[in-house]
Amino acid sequence: MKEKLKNKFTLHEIVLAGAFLLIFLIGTFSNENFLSLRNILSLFQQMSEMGIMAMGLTLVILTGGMDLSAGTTMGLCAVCSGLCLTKGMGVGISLLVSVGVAVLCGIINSILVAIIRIPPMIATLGTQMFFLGVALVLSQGNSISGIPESFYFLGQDKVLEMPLQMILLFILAAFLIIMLRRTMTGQHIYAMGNNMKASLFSGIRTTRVLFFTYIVCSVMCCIAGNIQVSRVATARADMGSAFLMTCISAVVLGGTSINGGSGGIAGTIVGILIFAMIGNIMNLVGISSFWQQLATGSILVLVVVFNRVIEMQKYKVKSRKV
Amino acid sequence: MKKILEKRETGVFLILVLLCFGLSLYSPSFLSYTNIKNVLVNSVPVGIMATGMTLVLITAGIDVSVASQMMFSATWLAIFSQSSPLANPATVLILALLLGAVTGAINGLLIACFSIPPIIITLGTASIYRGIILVYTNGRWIMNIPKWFTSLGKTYFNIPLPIIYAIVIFVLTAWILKHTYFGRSVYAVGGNENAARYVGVDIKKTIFLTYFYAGLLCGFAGFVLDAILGNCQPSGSNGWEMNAIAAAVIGGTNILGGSGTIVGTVIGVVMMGVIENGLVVAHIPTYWQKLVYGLIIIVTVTFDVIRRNYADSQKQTIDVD
Amino acid sequence: MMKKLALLGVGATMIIGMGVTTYGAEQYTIALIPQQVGIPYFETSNVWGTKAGEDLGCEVIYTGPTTGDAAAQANIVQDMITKGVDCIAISPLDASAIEPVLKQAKEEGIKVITWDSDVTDTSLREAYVNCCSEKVLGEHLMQRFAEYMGEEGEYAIITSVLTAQNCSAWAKYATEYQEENYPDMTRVAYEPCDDDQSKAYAITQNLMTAYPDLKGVLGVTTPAPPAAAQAVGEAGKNGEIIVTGVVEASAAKSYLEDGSMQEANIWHPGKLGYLAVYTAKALLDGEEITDGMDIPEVGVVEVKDDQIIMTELLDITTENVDDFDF
Repeated sequence: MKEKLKNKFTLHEIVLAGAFLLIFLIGTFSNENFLSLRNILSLFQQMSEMGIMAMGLTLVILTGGMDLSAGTTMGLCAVCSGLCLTKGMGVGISLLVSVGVAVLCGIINSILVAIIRIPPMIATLGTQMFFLGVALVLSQGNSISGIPESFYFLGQDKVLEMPLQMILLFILAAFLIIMLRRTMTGQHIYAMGNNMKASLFSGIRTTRVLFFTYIVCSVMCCIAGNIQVSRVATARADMGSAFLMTCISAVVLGGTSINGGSGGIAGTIVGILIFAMIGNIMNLVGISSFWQQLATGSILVLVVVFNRVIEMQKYKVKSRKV
Repeated sequence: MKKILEKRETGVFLILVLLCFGLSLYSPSFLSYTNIKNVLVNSVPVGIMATGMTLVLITAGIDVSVASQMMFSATWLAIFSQSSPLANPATVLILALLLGAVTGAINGLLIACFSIPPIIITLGTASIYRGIILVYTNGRWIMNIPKWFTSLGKTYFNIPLPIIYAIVIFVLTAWILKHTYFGRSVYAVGGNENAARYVGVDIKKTIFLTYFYAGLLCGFAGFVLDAILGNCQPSGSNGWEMNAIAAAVIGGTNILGGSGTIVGTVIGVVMMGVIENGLVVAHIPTYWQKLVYGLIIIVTVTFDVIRRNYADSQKQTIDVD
Repeated sequence: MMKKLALLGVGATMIIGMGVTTYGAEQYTIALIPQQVGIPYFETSNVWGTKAGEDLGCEVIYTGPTTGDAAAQANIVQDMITKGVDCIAISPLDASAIEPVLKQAKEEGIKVITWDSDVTDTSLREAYVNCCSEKVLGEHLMQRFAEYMGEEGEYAIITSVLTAQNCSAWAKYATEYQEENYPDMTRVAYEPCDDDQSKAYAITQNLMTAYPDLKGVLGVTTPAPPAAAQAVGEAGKNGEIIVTGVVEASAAKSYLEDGSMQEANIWHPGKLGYLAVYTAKALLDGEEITDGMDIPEVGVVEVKDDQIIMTELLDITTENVDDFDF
């Protein structure tokens, strides 16, 4: 039985499930409202934005890259949407413009990373500041309010009691999971994360795949941005900036290797859920939000170190056997 | 002479000079003593962090917890200086270095012993250190740092003390990089880890010491920050780690490791301060700042990478036949 | 057997847990939400607001965003709704961003009041606990500032975030008053410091460079005046560049004493917090607060439509700075 379990799930997945269960139980016991349908739905409503961004990031990180501009891309797309909407351009056009801008951001990132071959970390550090700058200039540092009610549906509507963004999150997740597991592009992404040079030599069009991943990531951020604009009925340039580190942590927590090559969307979602639950529990119980940061960081370090320690033990045992 | 001209740092330096020249034409008060002093003094904390960051980057690592480490140190120092009878300039300085040593050592141990990618560890520790001070202070600002402390950040005989501190750190670090075994190991580990291992460099020890040193500097930066500002905002200095990385990269440090100089980083730090100040002087709204920073990073790094690729392609292949 | 015991144990814990958390559901729960936790101004409101809870027999939950993030504040409100508080007393960071969640609160039957800063759609809240009528405060700030300025010269205003309704309103009325009454004064800059003291400090330094003839800095948010005063002091321009604004007595003290700040114009933030909780409880009890009513610990209040206004506006200088406990 143990053997079967070991073969079906990786160590990290077991540890992750354990952590998830633990937090869930803590939530259940700490406040009677935690398990209520209303709270669970509100939890999903709050984490959808981060979840969608984190999924986009997962793709990029799987190729062994990084997108530090994810947060500010979200802000830029939010501002573009906001400006279009308040200028009376209608929901459809605003969304189109917003997505268009996201694609442009993704293209810029891809050019820097895939063609000029700047290390992703530093390329996206530069674009992070640049996109934020553009968003600030467009919005002149102001918050854009007066978002028309016709746009509220994205962040505030419910379908069968479930928040629309939650359904969107699941649809996108399903789409990405299928893409990663069943299409050639998905296979290529994993291959490139494992060994970029080998992938290149085996004929994989790495440049195209990279363009794909960075553009998809930017579009994900755009979707998240529009959801938030719709939810709070305002658009600000700094939307999403605070999400970035949590999203990257969630991706790593979820089992995706920071060097790429292994991991996936499902783990990322569990990771985001863990962080969202922590925040939710703390708000419900009345613990100051400051503990959240401490908790987020601690969990990340603990899980990662714990995993590594066990890995190292296995390695020692293996080498001793020989 | 030709060697100096060919150096990466010279290029940035020239751009900096041109920038300052242009700004001074636009507004004569730019080159005034007060303004230059302000720009330099305000850049000191980031500069000290960037110095530690340079070492980390050279080893092909990264440390996004530097701002949190600095605030960690700054917060405890502020509290200590106000409430303890033992507090005086010497003890506060020792405490600063101790705090930095602890936070840096934790980073170093986790990264070196467990071989976990630095970005993950430092991402986690950044939240932990920041979380600790926020929980303890409840986010409450610590005002009214004692005068004997803030006097350590003031100007005497027209020379601001923080500048002296910064110069000492820069010189010391540059010397360590150039003239000690540790310094050479740093370059070796970053340049080619396997090769370094084969020549006998203790990789783990080098990496540990790198993050440890970066932590020490962050602790000291916290000390300087408190002295300059006279109060401490535990939730402040958000995002300064990115500024430190940007400064190092603009100054020519290779994010993939193996090369970088303190001189370059210093120029990078000053450049960023000048830009921030320059925008205001030129009456350009401050929200243009980020855009300019971003563009500069993209342009400098693109230039760097193209130059490096060109240099690589120029290398001749020798056929051994 | 073990499984049964375990299940029983889990069940028992859950029941006990639920019991513990529902105990004390007799008293009202009021969520007191500031624009940002950690800022000394709001921390004082917290202390007094909690005290009001003790005096009046309500549970006061003080929680807020840790940065100037309006979306985070909305999340917190949402969680308070889930928690089922009886009343939400909030100082919104962004007058419009908070409206959707306040609508949700209204639908759930939770009472909503605003304090310190208001929302755009006033139908979403039952009362607005204000330190002072905004026009009165804005004009007063400018009057005091102009007196020190000699009614002429270039000046700048530093505000918190551009979307904070209260600070923007004060800045607007102050500027309008200046344009009407002091034509020899010119406003050269209006900058947000995002309630970050180091930003306000840097902004002031930069302003002094960009505008060599700058004669005064008016800070409409509490982190700004001390930061500006520090910058002015370091430049050796105490008294040459006038610094006044909204700041607490304790933060202003050292700067008032060394002359880098001339005056602080503020109300008692603690009393505002107390009044907010008092108003919330009155609302929940179905009682009215009337014009001229004398509220314990707070003093006499004015009531204009649905605005409850504290009438005590204080001018703090070196002479009276020690009289205040905040």
